Amino acid sequence: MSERDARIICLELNGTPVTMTVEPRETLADALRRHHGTRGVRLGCEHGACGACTVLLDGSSARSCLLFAVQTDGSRVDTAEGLAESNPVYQRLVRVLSESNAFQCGFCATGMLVTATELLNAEPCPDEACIRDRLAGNLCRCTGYQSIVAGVARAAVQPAESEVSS
Amino acid sequence: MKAAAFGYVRAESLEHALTELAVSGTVALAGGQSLVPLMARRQARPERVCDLNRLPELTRIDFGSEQITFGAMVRQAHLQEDSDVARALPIAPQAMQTLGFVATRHRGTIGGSLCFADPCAELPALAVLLEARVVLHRLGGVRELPADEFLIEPYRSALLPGELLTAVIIPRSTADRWGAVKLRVAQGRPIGAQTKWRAGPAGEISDPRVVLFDRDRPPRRLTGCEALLTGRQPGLELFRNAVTDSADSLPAGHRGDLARAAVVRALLRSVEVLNVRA
Repeated sequence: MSERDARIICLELNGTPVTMTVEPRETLADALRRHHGTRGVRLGCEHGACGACTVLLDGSSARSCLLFAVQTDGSRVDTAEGLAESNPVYQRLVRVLSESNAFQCGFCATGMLVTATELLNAEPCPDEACIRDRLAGNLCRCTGYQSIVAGVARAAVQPAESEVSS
Repeated sequence: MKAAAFGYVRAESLEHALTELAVSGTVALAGGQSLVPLMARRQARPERVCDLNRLPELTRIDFGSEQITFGAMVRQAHLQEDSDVARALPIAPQAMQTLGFVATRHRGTIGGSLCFADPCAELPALAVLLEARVVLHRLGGVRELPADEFLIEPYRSALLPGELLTAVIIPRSTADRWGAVKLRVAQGRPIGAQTKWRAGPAGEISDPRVVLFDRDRPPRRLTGCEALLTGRQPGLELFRNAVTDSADSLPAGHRGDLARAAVVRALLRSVEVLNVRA
């Protein structure tokens, strides 16, 4: 096999083991969308500037357009789709930001939500400066950020979804 | 897919990495936060890429009594968040706050940032401030260079073909005042300053170091400014005078004003944040 040839990689995508055949130059973002239809991985700039393609790689946020899929063989990857299914913090963020009309067009939403989920998992009650710092790597071209930052702050002080639902 | 086709090899050991990097046309892939954007824009079209991300021997930190040795693949996020690093080098978390963003710091590495040699970036400046030495391995050999000799010019280091930066050695410092600032004043062309000094018996500034980073040259010490600070009581007026009256060559015009502002703010931060070394 040539070093340039496509190869088979295995990873745990949103809790499920999956395999993909990828060329070395294929980014993780492209591979996830092409093979697994995870459209929550948005492709904005495709060179690391906008943050729309943010995923959790082995639990830490990373830009999936700056990772080659071959690099993630054997890793755990969580996208907006998986977090929406199973992560109470993500679910609470979606509910609160939706109720408060935090987003307009919504293109940046999944990247923002993945980043905010990581923040609130580590730091349940961040102050506004901390929220702004953590979201600084995610661009939004509609809102001017105020509504997103305010929404994350509101989600931060509410009780967890699991505590209020039956 | 935006990058041109390339051959991919994952290094399984340091020896393996050095063997692969000895093959002409092979580049090392560390955190990928600078190289991969270049590849996406096809400003870089390497024949082969050797991935260093599964080499545990390059992620260690050794806290020695005389020096601290950072493996080249230590992530920027680790420098920002690790409590042992913060105790030994209080300036590290300060400086990392402005380097990229949380998701890029999770991937970006010390060694990658030094080899990329962006003149407007924090880590090359920090290496100069802390008088770091870099360890450069090649197949069958190793050499060490001081950071300021390694950083030759913007985006160019002294790394030779086939060499790999494996570690960064930072001597223990007696400094107990630290300040790092970056002014995000222009897209991709920020300007910043870092400082360290020790408070003498009467609170006076002792053994100061001031480093400026800007677009046209590698990060450099402002020795004239350091001389004017030495032995004096810290304060805004002194800081302003030291950077205005010094003989150091600063950028012309507006960027010169920004450089002076960055130095004054870094010095102010060093007295505001009393991050005394444990």
